Amino acid sequence: MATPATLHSHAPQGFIRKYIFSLDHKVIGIQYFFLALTAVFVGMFLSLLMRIHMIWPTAALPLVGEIKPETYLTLLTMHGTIMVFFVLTTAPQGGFGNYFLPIQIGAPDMAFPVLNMLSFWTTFVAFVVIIAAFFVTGGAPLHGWTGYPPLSAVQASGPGEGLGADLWITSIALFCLASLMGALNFITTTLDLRAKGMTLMRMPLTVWSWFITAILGLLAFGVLLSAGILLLLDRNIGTSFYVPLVVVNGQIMGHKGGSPLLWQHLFWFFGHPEVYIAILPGMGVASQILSTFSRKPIFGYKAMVYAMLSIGFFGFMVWGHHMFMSGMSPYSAFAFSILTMCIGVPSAIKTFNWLGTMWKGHIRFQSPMLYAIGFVSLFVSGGLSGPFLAQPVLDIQLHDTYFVVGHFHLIMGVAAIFGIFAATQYWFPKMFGRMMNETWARIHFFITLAGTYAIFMPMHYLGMAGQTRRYSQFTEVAYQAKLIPLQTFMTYAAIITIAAQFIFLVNLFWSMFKGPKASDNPWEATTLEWTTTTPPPHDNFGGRTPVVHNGPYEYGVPGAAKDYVMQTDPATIAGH
Amino acid sequence: MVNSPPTLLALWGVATAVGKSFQNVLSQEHWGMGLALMFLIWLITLVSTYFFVAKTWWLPAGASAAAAWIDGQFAITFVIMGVVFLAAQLGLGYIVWRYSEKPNSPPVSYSHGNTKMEIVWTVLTAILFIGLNLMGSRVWASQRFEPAEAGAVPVEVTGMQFAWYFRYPGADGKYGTTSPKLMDPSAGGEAAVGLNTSDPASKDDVVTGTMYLPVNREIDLSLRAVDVIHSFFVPSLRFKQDAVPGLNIHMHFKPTEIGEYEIACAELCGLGHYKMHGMVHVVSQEDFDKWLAAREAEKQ
Repeated sequence: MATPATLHSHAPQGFIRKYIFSLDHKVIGIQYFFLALTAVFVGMFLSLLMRIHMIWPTAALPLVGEIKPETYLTLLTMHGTIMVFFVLTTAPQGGFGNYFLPIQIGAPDMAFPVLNMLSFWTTFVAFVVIIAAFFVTGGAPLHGWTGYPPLSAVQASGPGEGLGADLWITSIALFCLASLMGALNFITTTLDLRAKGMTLMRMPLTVWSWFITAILGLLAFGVLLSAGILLLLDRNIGTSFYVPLVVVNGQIMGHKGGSPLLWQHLFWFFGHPEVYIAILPGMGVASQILSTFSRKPIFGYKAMVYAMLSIGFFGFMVWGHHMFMSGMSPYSAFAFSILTMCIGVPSAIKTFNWLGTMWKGHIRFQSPMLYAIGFVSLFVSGGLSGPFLAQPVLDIQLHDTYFVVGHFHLIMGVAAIFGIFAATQYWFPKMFGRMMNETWARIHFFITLAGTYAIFMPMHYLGMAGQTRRYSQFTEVAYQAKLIPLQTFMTYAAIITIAAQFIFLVNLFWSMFKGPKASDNPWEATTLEWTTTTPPPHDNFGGRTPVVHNGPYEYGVPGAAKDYVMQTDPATIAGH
Repeated sequence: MVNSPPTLLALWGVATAVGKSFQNVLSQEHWGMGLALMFLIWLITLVSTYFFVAKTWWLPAGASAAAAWIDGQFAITFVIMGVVFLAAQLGLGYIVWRYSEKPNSPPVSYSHGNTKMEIVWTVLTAILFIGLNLMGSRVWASQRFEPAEAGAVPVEVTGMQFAWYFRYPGADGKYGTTSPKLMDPSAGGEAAVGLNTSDPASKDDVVTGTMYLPVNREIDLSLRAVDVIHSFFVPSLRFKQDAVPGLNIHMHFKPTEIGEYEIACAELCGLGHYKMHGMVHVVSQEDFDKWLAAREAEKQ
């Protein structure tokens, strides 16, 4: 193979160096993508078991048998942890970010290819470790993905709080390490490896979103890593960082003087930025796709960049809004609440600009665009329940109810997943050289959009009625028993929506081998990945070094030969 | 009738027509797709809004002094967010249909945005969100920044896996001491909370598994947990507060309606979380005094 000399002189030859322990950011991106794909189906299966158990508590299920209340709690713990870490963090950033950030800025690879490989394989080991928690004595932990001590710190407090919980923490710690390495790589690459002419304000919004996400990751994962290590110490060598004197089942535990609230502060100092780590890349992808498929420049590029920056900035100052009911000082609730409302402002700007981008455009409804529009709709629906929860006085009623579950599932769960769907449809041709089937993508889109609303919108009604979350059955509390019909409806909606995901899965694999061949630029888009061949060569640009002349979203330029002007096109655009 | 061939044929014809039109919508025709998408987004929006507005499922009727304030703030937030929700979703649906690509579309308006509109939008949103927040803060402050009124009824709530216990200090107005060494959850009652019976102040302490409160009296609540974090949530009283091991959290509220209200634990506390349930009986002052006297008598 004659690859021209660039930063990396030779493409690797052997199968293992090429596909397993590869240093190529594109291969690593695809590895991350498949890891997240595996994880999302595991996480989804767990949620299916949960929904079935809630409605038919005594049903004997294939594979797992009858689910006990404590098993239900392990399901929700593992569902949350797997989805947040191994799907919502892994796919958009590790997967698409890894593959397309270097190409979109005109670089031949990430700044540190070995570190990149190490990040992926550490993430992989973390995933193996968390799955192992299912199979050890006592099973997986039941303390929820938030792992509040003392429940998570005292082994006697429940089944699964033995080795299972240690594996859970170990997995998260490994994941933190991997994400820290990844974040360093993303930041360095963005700052140092941009092609000539690729100024910061010419970067596609996807690059901005991965860059800001990496900064958030760098600042947040270190805190979670430290917090997790302290929790391991509390559990195993008798320290008391998080545990005061407690009496479990009549037995005095050996701890003294720790603070359960300390964990909550540390966890949410990570946990809230994590929400933006999950959703920011989705915002970037949605912006990219909405502009491309409306054949119009993005509305307010600079405002979009500043909005993402301020979301990232404020994202670190609002963690206390998860703790209004925790016993934290009511005065600090006041500050956290105002700062949380401030995040609503850039979020509203982004929505406004997405609508402005489509306004008077020529909208083409290919599948990436459908998912991007779905993203906007879900982002609005999930976002607007935020100002309820941001007010401490309303949180009195809504905290830890299904209202919260509906809120975060719509916005950081499903909206972020729609971002991943959009990215998959949009970049699949570049990654695999073939097109996905449009008809099946559309059918999948319509069922999934309607289905997710049918699952998660009723959660707001339930929450207002006082339905507390993390209840394995609703029969013990009379007012909650009255809400079971609505829960039943949601379970049916979930079964249909989950079944529809196999359409996506089959379409993905079928198209990988049988889809029609893709051209270099099937969407008539302008950013750098569409200037290179499909799929891109080992060094991304086949020995060329791209030179950038234009902003990323030059569509419908008056007087231009086509309705789009590539970023590398030297023709000057009036008004720039 | 249904079995007769002509009816079946007619049905087949209709089904085929529906299928074909769906096929058309799913085909490359952008306007058809825009129409289908608008229809779906509008349908989702209107159905969701219907159930909110019809109050098919809603907050339970409030039975405490704070309920009216909280529900008022909820209503204002609900109306504002509802209007934004409808405007944004219906607008989104309209835009995707209206601006779908057609062979005779006029050229797109080449524009990178409008700074003036961005500023107006930003300022409006900021005023709206922060204003909403400040309105709610008044209520929060009155509830949490000030101590309970003088003469409030003291009650201590203790959460443990998986039960609630309520302690009344008795005539002396003082809680007796408790000790972790004395805690025996399997025994229930006084032993469960570890009451130190040798402390004179504990002699008239009453520990129960059901909460009784006098109506229209301020309640001075002490919240404790012995093992893990629990959360004392009474939806009808608009009251929720975590009970945290190592902390003794003071809260106050005033029930205003006689009735029975359910307590649900709102913080994941282990395998029995879903059945950590309790009852609050809000009764007249007279009934409350009678009830407390009867408990004291039982104790002697």
